[in-house]
Amino acid sequence: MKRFVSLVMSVILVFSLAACGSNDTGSTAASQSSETQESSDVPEVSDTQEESLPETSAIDFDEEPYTLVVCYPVLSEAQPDLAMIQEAINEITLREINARVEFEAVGLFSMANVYALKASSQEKVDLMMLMPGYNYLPNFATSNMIQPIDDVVEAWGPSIKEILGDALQAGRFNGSLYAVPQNKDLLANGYGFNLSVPLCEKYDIDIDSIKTLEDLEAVFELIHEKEPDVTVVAPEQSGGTILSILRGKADPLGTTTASLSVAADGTLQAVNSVEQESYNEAAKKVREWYEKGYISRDVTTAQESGSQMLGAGKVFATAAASLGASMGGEMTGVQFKAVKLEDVFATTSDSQMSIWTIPTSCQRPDKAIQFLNLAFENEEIGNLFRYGIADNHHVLLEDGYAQLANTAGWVNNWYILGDCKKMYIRSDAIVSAGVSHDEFIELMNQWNEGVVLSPAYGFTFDPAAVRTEVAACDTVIDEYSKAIGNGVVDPEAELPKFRQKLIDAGVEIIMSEVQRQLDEWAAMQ
Amino acid sequence: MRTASDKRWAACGHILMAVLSILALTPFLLLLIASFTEENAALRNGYSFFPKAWSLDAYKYILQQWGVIGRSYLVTIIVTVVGTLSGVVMAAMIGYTLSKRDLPGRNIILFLVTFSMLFNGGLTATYIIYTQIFQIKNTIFGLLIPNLLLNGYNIMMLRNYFEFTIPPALIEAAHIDGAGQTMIFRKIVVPLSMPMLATVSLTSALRYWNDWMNGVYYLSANSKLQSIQTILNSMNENIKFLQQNNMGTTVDASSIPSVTVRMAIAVVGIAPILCLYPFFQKWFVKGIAAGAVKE
Amino acid sequence: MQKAIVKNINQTDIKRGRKKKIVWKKYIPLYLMALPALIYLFINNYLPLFGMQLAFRELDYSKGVFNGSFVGLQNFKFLFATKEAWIMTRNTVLYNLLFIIVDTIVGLGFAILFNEIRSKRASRFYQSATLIPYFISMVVVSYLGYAFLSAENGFINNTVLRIFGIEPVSWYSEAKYWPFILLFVHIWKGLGYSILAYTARLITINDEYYEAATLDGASKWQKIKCITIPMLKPAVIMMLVLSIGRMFYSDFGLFYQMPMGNGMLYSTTTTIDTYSFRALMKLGDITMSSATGVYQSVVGFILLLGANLVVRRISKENALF
Repeated sequence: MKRFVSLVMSVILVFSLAACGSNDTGSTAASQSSETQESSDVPEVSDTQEESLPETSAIDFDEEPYTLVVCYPVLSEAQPDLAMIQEAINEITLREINARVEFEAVGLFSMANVYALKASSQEKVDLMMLMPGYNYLPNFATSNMIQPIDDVVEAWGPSIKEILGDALQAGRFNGSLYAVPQNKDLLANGYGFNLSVPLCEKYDIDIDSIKTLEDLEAVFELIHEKEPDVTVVAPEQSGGTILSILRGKADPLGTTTASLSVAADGTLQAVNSVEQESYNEAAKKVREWYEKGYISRDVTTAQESGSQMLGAGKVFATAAASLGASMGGEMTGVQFKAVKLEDVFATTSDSQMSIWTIPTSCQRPDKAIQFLNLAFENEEIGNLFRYGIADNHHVLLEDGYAQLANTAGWVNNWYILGDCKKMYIRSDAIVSAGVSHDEFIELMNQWNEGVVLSPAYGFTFDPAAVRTEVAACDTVIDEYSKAIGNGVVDPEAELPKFRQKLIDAGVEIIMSEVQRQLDEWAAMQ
Repeated sequence: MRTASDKRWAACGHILMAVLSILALTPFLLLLIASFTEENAALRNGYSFFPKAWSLDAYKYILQQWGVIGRSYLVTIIVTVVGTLSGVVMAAMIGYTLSKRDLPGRNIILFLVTFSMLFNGGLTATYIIYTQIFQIKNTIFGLLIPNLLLNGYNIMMLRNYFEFTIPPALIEAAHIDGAGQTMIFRKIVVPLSMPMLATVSLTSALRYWNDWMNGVYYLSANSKLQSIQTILNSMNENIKFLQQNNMGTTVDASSIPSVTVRMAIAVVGIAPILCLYPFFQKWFVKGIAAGAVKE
Repeated sequence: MQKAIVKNINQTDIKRGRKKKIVWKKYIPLYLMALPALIYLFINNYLPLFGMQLAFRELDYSKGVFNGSFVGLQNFKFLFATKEAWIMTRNTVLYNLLFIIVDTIVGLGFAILFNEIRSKRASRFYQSATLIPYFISMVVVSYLGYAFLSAENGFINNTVLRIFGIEPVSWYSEAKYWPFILLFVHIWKGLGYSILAYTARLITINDEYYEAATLDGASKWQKIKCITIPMLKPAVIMMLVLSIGRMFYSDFGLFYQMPMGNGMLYSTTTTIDTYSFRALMKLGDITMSSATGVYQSVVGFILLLGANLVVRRISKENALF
């Protein structure tokens, strides 16, 4: 019996030790690609970069074509025609950069976990898209899951730099460039309210004449009186609050607690959002609206978004952070138009929604950037990936916009790859704006020109030093922000409690850390 | 012989169970009705037992993807049946071994089993072991093996049942007649334990049927082996993620399935189990095992 | 016959204090039967244990995820440092105690009553009906919960309360009702299964015991007290000890999905699992969730050992090991 015991124990012990000791198998495990690679014997990433940078930026066609594994986010798993589209894209890439691309879909909600698992087991991944990028960039960079790409972009990404321009700053973290932001059609979205057109027409309300908050409130009162079953105003999405729209946009500096405030002499300051007067005012206003009955009692629990409910005729107006060039749109057949209350203001996070990063384990970051560069230059790749194969997955209408077909075979919800401005536009986007294709492009350009960049654009906070406080503060924020933000509770009573709890959770420690990093960053500009 | 007291207790039982059954069935009924409700009516009035408008749209939406869904149903059924059978057999065998009080080393094995129920190395380590050493990624084993095949709790339940519910006299008699351990197990213990085996199988089958995380991690998203729950649930979770992170407007509105579709998804996910369950019910009802003990 | 003789000889040996000879031949088939399960547990549960060191290291993928520098207990800080952390621990433990007590009493009670029902058809119907909630996943249950508890359209506010003339309540804004709501949902979902599990044992109790008791003039209560419950004791005790070992875990689905993300309910619905999950989602830091796992396992293990020791004192055969 005793011998049996010690036998079992020693077996367990041996195996655990062996497992602990053999962790280095990770770094020597061959990547799963069977392609030969020129620099596969060099373990250090920086060495690879230096060795494979040629004298001239010329692509080597003598070597074996390299297979790039590209991970991108999807909403649903079924994408039966991916192989077809991959083939079509590969024709282009083989020709232009001597590389093949293999796409791998990753579900949106499990992105953090799946990428972490891939990195832990050293699976071959060359490019990964992070969405929303601002959630993951600080952590992935600090833990060295992704590698700095300053040099490779410098050498291989001229189009990237040219097309993105200032937006490339959004990919910087802690002094290095870690990500290539996806080039969006609009630099930033505006804050405002989307109003249901049918309801406005019913009561002869002219949306264009609504310019101030008072005008809007007058309209709300009218609707509330005439349509008691309709919820007057709701946040656009179940995760949002009406307060954030009322307060106006502030640069969160990549945090959940801070906002940017610019002093009279131009110095950048990080302040506690919740302590600001603007927050106070907005909280009182939204509470007023709740008490008047404009806001649904279920606002914090509803699973459907305000937009969906607007489309169902249940909601009159949504407090939206998604205003775009068309200043309106359509939701399940119901048209809506936007009322914009302030200028459009772009923060770093706006450009960090979808970003391309390169994992540390990637042996050929140059090839990865070559691919991204090609996608930016050659809009065919982007169009293929977004819309699928012509006449199969989409139909090209005149003026260059695309109508989707066969969504059971291929559907891609986002402009994941390539330069949006060169790609086709979806026909429904134009139709709902009620303008022609060229007019739409004109609207977009005008919009982008009117966007103001935040003075702290390019700064992203690194929470590594204050993780504990961030976790605790985030819990407090979860507890109060939606309730106060939608007027469900009385700010006179709850806001002081909210502020105190944040202080107890360590918000001031976070603030000083943010300020410190902000000062450092400002000095380097 | 039934006394008046027996009858009173039975009546009490009837009342309580009837109330419980109503409480259990009502929400399910709501689920069914909601899946047949018209979308706008659902958004406007919430779920109701008497919706203002009916519609089959939710199911049509699901049927659109029928090719994928049909195949995933097949995969899920295979995985559930194979997994449950193998898992329960393994658990029963070790449960039987552990039910022998005089087994040398019994306490150690018991400790090992209990320890395994409490300590977990975490997803990362498990993933590395299964994909690097055993190479099960993108195979059907990726759905069968990780974490679901065996459950310490089931082992304990079976062990407990074998130890305290099977009369030792029976087993002794068989030993004396010269039967070996495996024969005793197969011919005596298993038939007598059908109720508990069935209960444990139910748990195991349900865990397999409802599991969707293995599909997320051990299969790539486009794999043909995706189970029905993974497909349906990840779509749901992705939508929730979008909403909660205020990214809902980045996608085209038509790709977000509506609330009624989610209800339909739930019904589609449960339906097979509910249909098959009545066939297995006979193991649970009194009468089968009652006679066997008397010898 | 031969085996009986061998057994006798062994017992005599023991009485004389000699070392007992173990007849291995009898036990080898048993060991072999246990082997597949043990192999699986080894691969699935023991091999990956090296992953627990992630809780003590800094995350650095460039070195290999398990080779990051050792940082001691730093990853555990977020579980203890703030008042929030203690609230979640309190919630976890209290809910588990509540569930254990209620589950045992209600489960046993209903199972015993259920078995008094003679009509087979009624039995089958009740069993199927009460088992349905067990099959429904927690996400769906949370949607159904919303259908009942919604402030504007919910069944409770619109129908039930109206009958009694009570003002509608904003259920999702009032934290104080939620222990009851969650308890109800927990029971609703699990009761059918508990009845099943207890029934599986109840039907093996020999009818002769009950008949003998009736002849002795025992009342129903006495029969239950003296026959039924003692026969169920081993199962109940085993489940109790196992539940104590899981005192710091919680049913993630129940506590995360039911409140539907309403922050106002946090004070009574946050548990260790949901707190850690939310932190992970925001910060993307797997070392923190690894630390949570280690914390729950270690505490649970200590509690389990303790409970097992106590049970050993009282009735040795019922101990887990």
